Amino acid sequence: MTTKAAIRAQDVHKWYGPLHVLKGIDLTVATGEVVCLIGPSGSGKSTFLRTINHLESIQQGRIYVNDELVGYRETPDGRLQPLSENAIADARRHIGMVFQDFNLFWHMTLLENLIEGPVRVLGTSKEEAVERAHGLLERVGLADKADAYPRKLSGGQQQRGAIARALAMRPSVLLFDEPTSALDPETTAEVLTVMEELAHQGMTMIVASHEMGFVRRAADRIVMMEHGVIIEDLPADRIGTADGRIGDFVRHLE
Amino acid sequence: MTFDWHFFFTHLFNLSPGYLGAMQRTILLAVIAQTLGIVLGLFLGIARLSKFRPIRYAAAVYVWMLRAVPELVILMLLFTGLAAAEIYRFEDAYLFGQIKVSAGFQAACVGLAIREAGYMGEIFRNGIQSVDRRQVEAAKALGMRRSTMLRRVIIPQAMRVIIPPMGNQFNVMLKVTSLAAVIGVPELFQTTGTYAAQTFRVFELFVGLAVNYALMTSVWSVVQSVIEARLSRHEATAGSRTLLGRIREHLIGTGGREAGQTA
Repeated sequence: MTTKAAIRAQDVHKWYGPLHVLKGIDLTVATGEVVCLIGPSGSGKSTFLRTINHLESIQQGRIYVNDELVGYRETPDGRLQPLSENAIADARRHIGMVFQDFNLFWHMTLLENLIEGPVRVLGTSKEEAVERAHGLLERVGLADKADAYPRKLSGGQQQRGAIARALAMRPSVLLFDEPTSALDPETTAEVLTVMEELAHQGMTMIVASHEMGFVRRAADRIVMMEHGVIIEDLPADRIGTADGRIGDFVRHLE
Repeated sequence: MTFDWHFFFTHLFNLSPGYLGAMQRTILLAVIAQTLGIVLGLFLGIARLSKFRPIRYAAAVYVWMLRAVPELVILMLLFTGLAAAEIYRFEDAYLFGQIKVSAGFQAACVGLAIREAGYMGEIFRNGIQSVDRRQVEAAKALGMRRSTMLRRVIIPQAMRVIIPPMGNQFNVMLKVTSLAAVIGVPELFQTTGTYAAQTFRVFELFVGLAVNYALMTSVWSVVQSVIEARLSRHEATAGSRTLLGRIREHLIGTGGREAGQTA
């Protein structure tokens, strides 16, 4: 594993009005590293994840993805200036995101979902995008569903499709926002299998999830958030022997 | 009461050039005005949702005005009023130097289009607002710019909500074209009036006219049903609503609409 940082968050703060939801997050994720983000609901893990591709703005601090500042430009006197809407959009191209409720475009077939980004955003030729999309569908076990509309697929199939859609953009990092929370145990397993394969192939991932099986099999680190701060940051293989708050929390999950 | 059935039937499917020309004018007027109205309405709908307050307000005022003023008044103002005030006078024009487009027809197209834009603007706004925020976020996460997102995700998804009322608007439009008679466009209504004045068979002619309007709107309802069936092919429950069921709904409205639709 290289030591180059794929994601660097420094002192990230976010307020919703008077509500201080992120209170100084510092986190560095190396290229190829898989970090699992856990914590009780309302701890800010989802919000933090969404600041990385700037679906949420931040009010203080810095987030770098591949050494590029996300969402802002730094003025010579050190202040943050929001980037234009288009510049923010362009910066998101290589930051993939997988959502809790899949959010495949329901008016397009699975194949169309997969080529939409490459063709419309990256300017890939349609033929190339289609060929790659078929490969990706194969990889997530949906080769026979290319022409199906998302609403006719099961939740697990939709989520695997959504992962394939994110991969179609050739992302340098992938963010998973509770990818299996809307799924039953059986379909959860099929989605986790796909995610584990990705992890083992060296994809840089931050996964907000309480799936301890995934943590054990695929994660490098486990980070726990509570009340908008990171309270623990451990190598994943030490999770079994962890004590204190994170130990209690994890034991409650299992 | 005497109802001259023979006269009625010969005029019901009157294939004389005069009557056919009138029907053609009615349909053409409806199609052109509707198309212009849709385009204008799209901009209006987007303007209504603009981040910039002046644009939002201007669009809101337009919608309010168009809905507040009778369409007859709009047509008179546009055609006769503007000419009387010497602001703008519609003149006969020749398309490709051949096809005559009368001044009244032009004014009717414009007048009905700006009326339609008011309604279509609201339909578009409502449709755009109905799009799930999470679908927009998924588009953003792919790095789509706003214009791409609008074109590829928001408008196509909004169409599901937009198409049914838009179809109804065209149904209304087919009938509203009769108002163009007031500015001298020889469409179906005016032409029938002229025949009535010549033959005094007012009842037969206007019953025939009613049947003709009903025929046009019914044919449109069938077309609308086919379009809607095609657009819902991605619905999980698409199979549960038959084309015939849709047609029946459009013609007489069965109230079964909501039951068949799932999000």
